[in-house]
Amino acid sequence: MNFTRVPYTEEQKRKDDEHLKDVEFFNKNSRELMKQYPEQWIGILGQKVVGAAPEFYDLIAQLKEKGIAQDVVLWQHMSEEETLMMDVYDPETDEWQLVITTIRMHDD
Amino acid sequence: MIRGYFRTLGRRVSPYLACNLEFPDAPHIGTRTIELLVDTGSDRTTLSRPAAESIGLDLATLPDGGTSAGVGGVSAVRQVRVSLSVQDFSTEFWLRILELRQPTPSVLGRDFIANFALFMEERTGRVLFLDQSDVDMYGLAALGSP
Repeated sequence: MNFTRVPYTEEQKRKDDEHLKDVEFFNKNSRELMKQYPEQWIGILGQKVVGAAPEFYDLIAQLKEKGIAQDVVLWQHMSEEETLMMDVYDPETDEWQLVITTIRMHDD
Repeated sequence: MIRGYFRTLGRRVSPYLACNLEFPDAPHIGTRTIELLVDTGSDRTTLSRPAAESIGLDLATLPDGGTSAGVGGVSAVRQVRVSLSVQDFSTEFWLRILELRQPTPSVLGRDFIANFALFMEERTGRVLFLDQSDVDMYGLAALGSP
C-alpha cells in the first residue's frame, strides 16, 4: 500500500470524537449490555443502544428504518463466543490459508 | 500518527481502528466508516460479508477473488477497489471480502500495519500507528537494537 497525506478536516475530527464517545460508553457498560442483550447484535450511537436483534441483518434493517444506517454505528455481537480468523502459511502448498475458528470466553 | 482505540467486552480487550471507505466502482455508496480489528495475524485487510452488505455492497456484482480454505471450511472471496482514509492518511487497494455469512470481524491486516510502527498499550488505552516522521521524532529507530 502506498499512503498519501490528506487534510484531517474539522468535520472528520468531530465524527471521530463522537465515535470515540460511543466506544467509551460501550467499554464502560459492556458487562451490563451483555446481561441485557445476550446473544444479540446491538448498535450504539450517541452513547445509547439504538437497535438490538438476534440476527445481524435484522439489526441493519432496524437502523435503516430509523434512518441512521449511514451513521457511524458501533455494532457488536453480545456473545461469549468469538469468531477469529487468521492467515496461516502452509509451506507444503506454498500458499496462505484462511483459518476460522470460534473460541468461548468465560467472564468469571 | 494515526490513533486507534481498544474495545472491551468483559475480559476481552481488542484493538480497533475506524476507517473511512469509498468505492470508486460503486460511488453511490458514498463514504462509509467501518471499524477494523487490528490483527497482526492476518496477512491482508479483509471485510466481513455482514459489514460489506451493511454498507450496501452487492457481493454478486464484485470480481471473484478466489477462495480461502480453513478450519471453518472453504470460503469464496470477492474483491473491490477501495479508497481507505483514516485521519490524515489515505491509500487505495483491492479489498478482500469473505463470502462467509458467519459473523467474523473485519480486520486490518499486515498489508496496512507494515507501513507503520505499531504501538499498543492496554494499560493506557493507546493504539498508535507511527509513521517515519514519528519514529524519527521520538528516536525509536534504535529501539530494540543491540
